[in-house]
Amino acid sequence: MTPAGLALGFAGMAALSLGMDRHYEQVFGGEPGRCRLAALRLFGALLLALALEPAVKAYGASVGAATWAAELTLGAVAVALLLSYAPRTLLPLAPASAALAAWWWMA
Amino acid sequence: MTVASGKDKAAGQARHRMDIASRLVLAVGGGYALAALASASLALALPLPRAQAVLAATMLSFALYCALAVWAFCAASAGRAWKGAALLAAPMALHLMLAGRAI
Amino acid sequence: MKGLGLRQANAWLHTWSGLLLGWLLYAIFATGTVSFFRDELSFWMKPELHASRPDEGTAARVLGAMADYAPGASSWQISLPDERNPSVAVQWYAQGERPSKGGGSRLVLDAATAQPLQARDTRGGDFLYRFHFELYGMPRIAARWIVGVATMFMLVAIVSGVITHKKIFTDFFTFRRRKGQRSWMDAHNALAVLALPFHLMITYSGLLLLMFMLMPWGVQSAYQGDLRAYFAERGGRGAAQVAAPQAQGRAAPAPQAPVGPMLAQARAAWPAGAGGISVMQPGTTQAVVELREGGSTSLLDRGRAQRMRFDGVTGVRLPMPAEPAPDGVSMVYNVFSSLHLLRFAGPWLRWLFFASGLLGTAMVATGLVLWVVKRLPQRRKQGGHAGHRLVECLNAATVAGLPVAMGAYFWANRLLPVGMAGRADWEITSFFAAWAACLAHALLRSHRQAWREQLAAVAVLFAGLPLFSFLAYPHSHLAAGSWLLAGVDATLLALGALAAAGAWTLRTPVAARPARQREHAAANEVAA
Repeated sequence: MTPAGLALGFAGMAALSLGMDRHYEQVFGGEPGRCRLAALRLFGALLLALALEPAVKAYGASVGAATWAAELTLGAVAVALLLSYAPRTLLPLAPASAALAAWWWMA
Repeated sequence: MTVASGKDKAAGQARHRMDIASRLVLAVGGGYALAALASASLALALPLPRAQAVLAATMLSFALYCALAVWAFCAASAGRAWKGAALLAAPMALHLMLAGRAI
Repeated sequence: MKGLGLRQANAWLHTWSGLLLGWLLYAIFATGTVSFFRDELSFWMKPELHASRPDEGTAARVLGAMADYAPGASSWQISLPDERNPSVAVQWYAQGERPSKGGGSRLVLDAATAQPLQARDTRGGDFLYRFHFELYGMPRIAARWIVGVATMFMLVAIVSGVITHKKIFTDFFTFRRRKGQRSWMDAHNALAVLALPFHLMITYSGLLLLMFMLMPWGVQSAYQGDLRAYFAERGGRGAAQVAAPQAQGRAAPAPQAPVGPMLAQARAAWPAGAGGISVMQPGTTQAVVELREGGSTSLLDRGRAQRMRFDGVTGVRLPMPAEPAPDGVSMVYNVFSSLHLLRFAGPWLRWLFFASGLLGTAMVATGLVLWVVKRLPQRRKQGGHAGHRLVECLNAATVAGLPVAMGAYFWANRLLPVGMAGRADWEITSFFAAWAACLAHALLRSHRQAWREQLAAVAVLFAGLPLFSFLAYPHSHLAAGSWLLAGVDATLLALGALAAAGAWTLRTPVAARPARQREHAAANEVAA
């Protein structure tokens, strides 16, 4: 059991949220371009898909899929709370989370 | 638009209540009846071994019940909602009668 | 509904299907969430068992001790300790006794010494688990029907809620704080949408678990109502179970093969090793040892755990017929029911689902509160309204009152004398008495006071329990190395802190606060 899936879920959801006008402005301040938003959303989706791997590897296909879905849910809740209480912290936390996940995956 | 008289208003309110009551009966009672018909009919009609057909039909029936309950309130009028439900129920009821299985 | 748009019609449907049974749904969700940890809770509520620490030699030790406790038995059943319950549960049947649900003799053993332990009389986590779908104090079938109907209402509420939610994608991560009604709406939406797959799954699977009672018409039409014939044909656990070897009279005693190598084979084949041991005709020449897999690696076969059989005397592995893989339709059912019951999940998935369950419970709670908050301006203008007042009281007495009742239940477990007659029932009485007191309290106090005081009660009751454990039960804290108990205590502390935070935000009525804060609050309410 590694929290890599949860970390990737969080990072992916963060990226997805930043790919939205509203939240991009919350965190970065400036006006985002459409390309940038789309790229963030794509990147976020990719991270969410990757999060499937550690879950399935640890628990098999069916249990892994259920684990992955729940990890995504909690990642999204964490992102929503941070966006409400401390939006600027999303900037360091999301990449750190992705990096942590990568480190766990390699370890 | 002319101002509605007191009597018209009361009649309008009563109609509205009837409308809601009608939809409610359809959603709660009609929905269950339709789901029951569907589970009985599909259990015989699905091209699966008997036990699997029963399981599949029963599992699906709840989705149908939910869909009908939502439809009961989304349809443009209560009458339309009932008509739609009857249209769905008729072939299944017919199938069951023909199959000779009395519930 | 004539002339109402799709969104508005569904908003109406959502509000009423949610409100009418909202309090029951909250109770079902809350007790269900707690029930994910039912085994852990039961263990936590039996301090007499807390010193049990399993080790490598537990299985062998227990089997040796069983020879003393149940020498002439026809079969032994042993549940080995796992991370959810470090004690050993044993059961045996006498010769000629037919295995039945309440039959046989049972003991709980310490994993380190194999000595019997006498735990205090308590229903433990099972009370809350049973309440979740059978409520309490009413005929089982009636209660299941009530819960089934409520679940159907929940399903309709979820679907109509999704249809009526205008900006489900744009508002996906949105939670605007300190904006009165808007904040409650955002919270309700976020809790619902972010965990939507979980909510849909848990609700639909709940219906499926009751489906043959709620919707017997498929069985009626295809099997003329013969449920037994249906189950036989479907090939569930009962049908597929390989019959245990029958005893041919009383066999001669014989020394038994050591269980160590058998367990080693189990550990090699199954990720969690063996979870249980059954011995048929123990201590004789006809002994057969069957190991049951601990946990399950797939949702597809309903946790129909794998088994291994060995000759009891020689230790040689016996062949077992391969169990057929379930068909596609059964797989669908198995996935749903496994996800709902979560019988065999490991700790990570269990915690994830517990958190999701908390989200669902909060979703129902915020919905109930939102109903009241939305109508506050109208009430201020029009004065009191009996229906609204009733909803207010039920809200406080259920959302805050149910946790108070749980706290009372746990405290009764700690404080009632161990030797007391009918102890388990008295714990349950404490639960309902506390809940009733909360209802009375909510009726007597103002809305704000009711919430504040009941939340404060939750905080005190929950946070006090780990403190009590630390003082009264030396085995029960982290220093003694029990993660299970530490987990329960930590959760109680966290939930107590949450309740305290809630009570804190309600501390002074707006009018009593300094002028600047008052203006700020007023501006926010208008914006809502």
